[in-house]
Amino acid sequence: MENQDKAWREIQLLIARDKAAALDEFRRRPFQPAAPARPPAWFRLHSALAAVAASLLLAVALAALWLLRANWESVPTPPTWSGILSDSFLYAKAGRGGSARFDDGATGPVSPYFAAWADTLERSATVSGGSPPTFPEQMVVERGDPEEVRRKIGRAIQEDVFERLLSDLHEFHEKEA
Amino acid sequence: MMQEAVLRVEEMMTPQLVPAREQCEQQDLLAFRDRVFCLCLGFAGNAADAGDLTQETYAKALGHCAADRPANPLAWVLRIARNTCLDLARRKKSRGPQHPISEYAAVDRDTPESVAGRQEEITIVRRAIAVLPQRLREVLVMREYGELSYQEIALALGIGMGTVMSRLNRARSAVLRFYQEEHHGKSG
Repeated sequence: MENQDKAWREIQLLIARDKAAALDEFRRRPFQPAAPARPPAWFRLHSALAAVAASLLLAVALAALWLLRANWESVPTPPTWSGILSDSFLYAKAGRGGSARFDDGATGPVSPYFAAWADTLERSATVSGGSPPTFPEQMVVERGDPEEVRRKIGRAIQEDVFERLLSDLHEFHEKEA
Repeated sequence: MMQEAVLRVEEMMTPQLVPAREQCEQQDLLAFRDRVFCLCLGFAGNAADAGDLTQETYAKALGHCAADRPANPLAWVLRIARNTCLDLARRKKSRGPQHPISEYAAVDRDTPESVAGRQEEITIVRRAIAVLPQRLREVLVMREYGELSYQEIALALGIGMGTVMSRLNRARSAVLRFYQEEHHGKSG
């Protein structure tokens, strides 16, 4: 215990020297603590006024818009989802009620790469000897015969339809890139 | 005419600053400058940061003095200093580990060898304090660097006197252990 006290006194001496030297340096420097820059009172008051002014400005802008367009109907509506997705090949196909085939010659906003992919898929299915794979677009599994679904999936697996589909998709993506 | 306009603008911009400064000067807040600096030195571990922290502490104190009207100005300003130091430590921790640097360490008019040796010892002590857990470090720094009494520390931290003493004892043991290990490791 006595040893510890003695050792601690040594540490205290070191701390005192450290403090003395640092204080010497500190006193030589100018000491001018700057008060924190607080926003003036009129500025703080103005933040509430600014909110009111912004609301008024918005109301004026809406009124001006209404006066210019005469009524709200002529204001352009934002694009609908179907409008945005109409460029999609699959979406366009689904929109034709399941009667569409890849070779039905239907015109529409279809990418040439998609058309090429569809042709390739159909051709490769014909070459492999089997019947061309059909893709029921809106098949509801719950209402179908589970056995038949299983059989179809099994046949598709045997004929490597999924693998070909994936490789074609991969090829298509590479072309797109 | 021009001077009058400038004065009017100053009055508008700083409505409470001048009275706050006067009051703080009356309370001799600035007389505690050295103690605040020493406390900051204990927390920061280097004189450069301690100087900046002291300035920051006084900037806060002068800004809030009029509103807070502290009953015990020394305890009040040291509490601000402690919080400012802990804020800096947190900011530094989020930036990555840093060791206390040895600039401005004690330099006496001794031989170069003894000066170098003492500087190294001081650096070890600073590191030993820096690696302490916060609850032990703040008690030790307040006692050894801030020179606060046990009662003042207890008041500042909101803990009992017994807790202050036990934490101080543990902190001292940890610092001594670290110092002896490092010192013997280097000299051996």
